[in-house]
Amino acid sequence: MIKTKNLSKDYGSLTAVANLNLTIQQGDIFGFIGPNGAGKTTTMRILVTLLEPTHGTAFIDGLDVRKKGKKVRKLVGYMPDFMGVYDDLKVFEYLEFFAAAFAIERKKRKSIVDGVLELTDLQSKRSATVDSLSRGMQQRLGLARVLIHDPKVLILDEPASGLDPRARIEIRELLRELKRMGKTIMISSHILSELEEICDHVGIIEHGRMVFSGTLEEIRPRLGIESKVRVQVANNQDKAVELLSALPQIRQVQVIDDYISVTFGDDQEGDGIIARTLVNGGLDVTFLQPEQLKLDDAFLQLTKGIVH
Amino acid sequence: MNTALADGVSVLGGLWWLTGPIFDKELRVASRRRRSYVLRSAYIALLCLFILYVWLITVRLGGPGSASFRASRMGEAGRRVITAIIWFQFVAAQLMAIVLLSTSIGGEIRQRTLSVLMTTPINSLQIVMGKLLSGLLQVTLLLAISLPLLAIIRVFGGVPWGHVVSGLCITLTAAVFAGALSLLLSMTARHAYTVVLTIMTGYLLVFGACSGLIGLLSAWGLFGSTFAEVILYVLNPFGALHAVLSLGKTAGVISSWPVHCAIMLSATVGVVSLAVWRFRKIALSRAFSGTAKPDTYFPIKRVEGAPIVWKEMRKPFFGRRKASFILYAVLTGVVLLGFVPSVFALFGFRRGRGPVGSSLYYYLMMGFSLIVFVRLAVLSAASITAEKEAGTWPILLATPLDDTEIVRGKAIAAFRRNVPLLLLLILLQVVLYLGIMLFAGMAFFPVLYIIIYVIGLAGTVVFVIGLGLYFGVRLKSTNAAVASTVGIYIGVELFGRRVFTTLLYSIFLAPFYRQAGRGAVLTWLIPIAVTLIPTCVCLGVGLLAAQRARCRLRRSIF
Repeated sequence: MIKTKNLSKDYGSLTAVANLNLTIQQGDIFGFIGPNGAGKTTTMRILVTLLEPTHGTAFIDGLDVRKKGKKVRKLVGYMPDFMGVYDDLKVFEYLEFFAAAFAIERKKRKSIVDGVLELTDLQSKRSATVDSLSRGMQQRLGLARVLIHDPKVLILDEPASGLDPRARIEIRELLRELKRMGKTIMISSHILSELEEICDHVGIIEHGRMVFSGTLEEIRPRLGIESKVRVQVANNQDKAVELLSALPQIRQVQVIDDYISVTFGDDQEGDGIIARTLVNGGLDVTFLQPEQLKLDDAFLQLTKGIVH
Repeated sequence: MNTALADGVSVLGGLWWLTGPIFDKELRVASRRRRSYVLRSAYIALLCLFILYVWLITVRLGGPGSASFRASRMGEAGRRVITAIIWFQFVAAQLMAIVLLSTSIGGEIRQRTLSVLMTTPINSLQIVMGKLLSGLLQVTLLLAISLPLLAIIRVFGGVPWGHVVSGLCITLTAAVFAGALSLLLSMTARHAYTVVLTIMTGYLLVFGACSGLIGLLSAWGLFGSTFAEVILYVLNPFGALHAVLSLGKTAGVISSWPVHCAIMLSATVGVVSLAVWRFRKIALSRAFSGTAKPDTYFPIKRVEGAPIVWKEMRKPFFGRRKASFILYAVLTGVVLLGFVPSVFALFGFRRGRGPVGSSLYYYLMMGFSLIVFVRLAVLSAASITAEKEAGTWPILLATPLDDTEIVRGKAIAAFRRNVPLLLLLILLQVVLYLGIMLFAGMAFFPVLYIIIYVIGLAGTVVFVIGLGLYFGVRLKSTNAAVASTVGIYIGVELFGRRVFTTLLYSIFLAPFYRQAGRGAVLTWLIPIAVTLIPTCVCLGVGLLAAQRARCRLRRSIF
């Protein structure tokens, strides 16, 4: 649905995006991650035809963003990182204005606006002036606006920034609902734990270059990250350490308070081996949990330039 | 240079207690802005053009004659050039003081730096004086640039130093007062152009309509001449400068210019005191109130027709804000106070009331048309930059609306929102022609002149809207776009057209006019052609600017 080919954007001597290649399948939620100034927003702006790439090109649903700008804009719903609002317009008027801008017939507009207001839970604010809404409400209104023309692709630049935890959870639920509706969503965020929960794929960008693109599971081998398992036994922790240290698959055993942290190579069956070894050794295992690779960790490692 | 100058001024004057670090910061920032240098270059260029124009029409185009005759006209040329420079500086310095200080407090609020500034030990006096003095220093620098020119032109003879000095003093005090007023209003106004428009309207009312009215009534014998002279030449900076530069024609009041300057400085102290007194309360309430405001009751309006036009026309003619309403109420006051009596004066010609009625009406027309076109410039330029400032511009451009649709929609809306004022302007012009017709004893109404006037008006409307859209697209801030549009409009309207018409007529058409003889049909067609050519140029430039705006619409989005 979204594809970029050697996409580059230069601002004078500064390269914001360099030879970016990206593919997002239909119906996916793609998390676009990177430190400030990495080129996320520039890439998104190129995809929504607000910026011209210096080299390369991008396609939305097979349409070249450089040549078919108007058609691309009809397909895409774009929510910028800073969403401005018009003074003196009411919520309904604001949405109807954009419905008209997307050339939706007048007789259909009212039902469509009411529909997106319901979806974003903004019916009660129908007659409120847009600039009187709170930040969270304005973000929801932004999402309502993005949905007004029923786009196939949603490009959301930091939609949850500046929101309180409740509003963030609501936005996340809304994105899940949109995924169920079959939308392809590209979302950038600094709150990585949120992306972790909703994204099918992630792309990590640094200095305008894509340093990783794939699923979270695919990151581990790419980074050479060792698997870790946390174990707790009811009795005789020393014996447990001795048993585990003797296993050839295990690289390191560390005691941290009343837990034992066991480090493997890239063996996916590590937790099974530990459980069997300890039970066969006559120990009662009270807790065993593989340590999840957090997106935060991957982000930190990948953006330090240590990718192999 | 600014920083060095600031250091010098601060050290010499020991101004730290008065301005704090604000003065230094403002000058440091100003020295890094390209527009400061552009402004100075444009000022010098305009000044040189203006001097060239006055010199040409005085000496070179003053008619045939021997070399000794031309030499004898040098004194006259010197007097005219110096008078023109001082008038030019008088208007330009006030305008620049108003524009430069119109963003002084509002800009800090918009950038959210004022609330931070208020948490420091810097007091209100230091903030107000720091801002005021830094703005005025820029204006003083521009005035200083022209001093060598004035000194050189004085060699021609004809003007004593006293007049130059008094003219500069009046200019400086008027600029200081205008700057202080601008700073005071910038504390409450949301946009800089509101400040500029409010002051222009206020000046038109107080220094134009009221003074003119008093002069008129004095001429009719309703007021004593001393009272009228005090109002016209002592309290009014325009009158005071006129008196000084009249060189003896109003000899009785020339000596009063130091009193005028003292009054203006006292008024400035009053305005600054008010600003310091109210600063903390107003600034804090604005800084922390944000843009959110309670819901006001007005019904939901369904979108009809082109969405851009609908959105722009959604705002009522007078605006929803109290400040806008007050502005237009003052404007109505100008019309009522100024025009109604002047119409009587205009029609009083035949009863031997003298020409004062027509000139008052003429100046009021100039002032009113200036306000109409400044409003047009504001609406067209701000229609795009306001979207950039609010962050809605990228959202709008991400819709499938055509670039042409957007530019056309903005242009139509700017025009339609000014239609009532434009119609009023045409009506006032018809009244003026009617008065002249009765005075001149013409048997028929000059319909042709009305048509030419309307064509000229259309040309100016297209010119201003085109320029406004172009600068709106090119520049990021509303203030810069409005200032550029208004600056070029005023430059073209007050100087460009006149210079163009004079040169065109004197160089190309006058010889032809003399050859054709007075009875020829061409003798009345030529003036019409001379009037229409600048109109066509304005029309072309306006359309070209709008076209460029369309082409560049997606170039400076962020």
